Amino acid sequence: MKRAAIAVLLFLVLSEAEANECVGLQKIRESLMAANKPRVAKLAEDTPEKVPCGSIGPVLSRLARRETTGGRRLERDRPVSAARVQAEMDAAHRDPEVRDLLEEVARDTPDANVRLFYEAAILDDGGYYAARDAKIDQLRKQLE
Amino acid sequence: MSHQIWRCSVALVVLLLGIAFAVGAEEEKPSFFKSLRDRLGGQSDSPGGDAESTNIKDIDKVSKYAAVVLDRECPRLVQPYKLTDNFASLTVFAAKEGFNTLTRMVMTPKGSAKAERIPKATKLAANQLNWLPMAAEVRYGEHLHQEETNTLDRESRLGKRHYPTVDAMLQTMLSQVNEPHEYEFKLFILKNATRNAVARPGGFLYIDQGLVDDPSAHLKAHFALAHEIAHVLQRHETKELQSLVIDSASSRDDLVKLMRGIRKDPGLIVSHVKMGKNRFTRHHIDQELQSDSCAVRLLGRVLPDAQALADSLNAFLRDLPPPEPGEAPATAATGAGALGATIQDIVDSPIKRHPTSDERFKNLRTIYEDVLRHKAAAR
Repeated sequence: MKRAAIAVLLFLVLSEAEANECVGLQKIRESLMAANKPRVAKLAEDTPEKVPCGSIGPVLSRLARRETTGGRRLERDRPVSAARVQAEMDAAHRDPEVRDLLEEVARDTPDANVRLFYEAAILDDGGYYAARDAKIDQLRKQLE
Repeated sequence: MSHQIWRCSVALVVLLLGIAFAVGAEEEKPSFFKSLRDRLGGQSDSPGGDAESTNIKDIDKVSKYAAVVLDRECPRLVQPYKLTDNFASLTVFAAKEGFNTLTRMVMTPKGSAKAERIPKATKLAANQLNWLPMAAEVRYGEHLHQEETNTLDRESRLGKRHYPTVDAMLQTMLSQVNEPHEYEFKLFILKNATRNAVARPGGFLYIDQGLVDDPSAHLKAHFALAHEIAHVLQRHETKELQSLVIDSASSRDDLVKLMRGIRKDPGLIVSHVKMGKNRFTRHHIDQELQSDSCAVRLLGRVLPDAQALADSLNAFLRDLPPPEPGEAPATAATGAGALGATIQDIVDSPIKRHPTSDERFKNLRTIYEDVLRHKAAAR
């Protein structure tokens, strides 16, 4: 009986651990390791639950790759203005959900690089892409 | 190796077609071309028709190179995509060429037009068609799509908000593509604040969220989507790939001549490379202009009136980026200076670039006026 209870408990713990693992993230991390980018892959280790799962992989990929993907573009890609980035940062801090998360990671994450990574993921999930890209650029420079 | 087999097969078929029509040309009456096209169910004169009918491209120009756009004004929204369409198009072309040759032979006293020129012209016409099977094109598109990691999830909070807007836009546009095609378009929003759009082979379309979440950007979004649909229906990516293969292979004789000439003038090799690069870049630019043209023709069907069409085009033109490196014409130099400048230009200027804003403006205006003329005539 005791053994059965332990087995059930173990199953529940393992299931929960699997549920917390973001879909596709392991594959992205493996490809980063294969591409000799362990510092980037390491950023996503032990990511707290408050960081949106669906944004971790895309931010990691964006961080690791500079070149644009293939295809026919309407026009040449160009960077967004600094004013737009600032406007998005301001808007993100007015958005209660996003602001609370940003404040939490600022408080709970001592490593500056990891903090930037979490902030980029939170901004990505909130739809503040210009602000996200600014964080990614900043992080990329710090990792170089 | 597979390219060689493919080229040989195409060459053989067009050769056989050419011979058949060269032999038959003298027996045919001038109405042959029309009746042949009628028999094949060609639609080059009329839009519409069902997916089972043959999609014949009316080829009226050929070039020594595959990497050229000969119909930049987009006379047809959908390029042939089936092998049967290509063969039917070549059959019609060969028949027309056979008839033209006959006319030349009659009109020219010494009979300078030789029958053996027909297969060569038909072979060049074959270079203007896209021979990559649709299934391969879709797989190529899927491969490129797998590399795209920045798409907005349809089931996310923002996805549920924005996808209905662009889905409706796409459906409205596709409902106005009357020509038969087999593309299953797949539309994705890219998590970008910018206002760009992308097309990949096989019907993969992408539009920046910056064009969707701001209603004031929707006028440009319409143009962007129409432009990208045009890239797919014109099969630009695979045509460009095919042209690179054909042009590099068919220049063997030129290469021998070039090697002989280099002994006298070492600068020849630089000129040769520059010419090749310029031709490829021009091809890329002309494909962009062709997509602009197709976008205007498609929007002319979708948008309610001339003003709405003009508004959409203006929204796009107003938002064009500043000139990029390589757009400005190189300054003329002589002697060693010229050679150095040419090498620098080859290395520095991008091989794939967009048309200048001025080129795009002039082209859009021409097609816009043409669309209005056709609408007025239809009324």
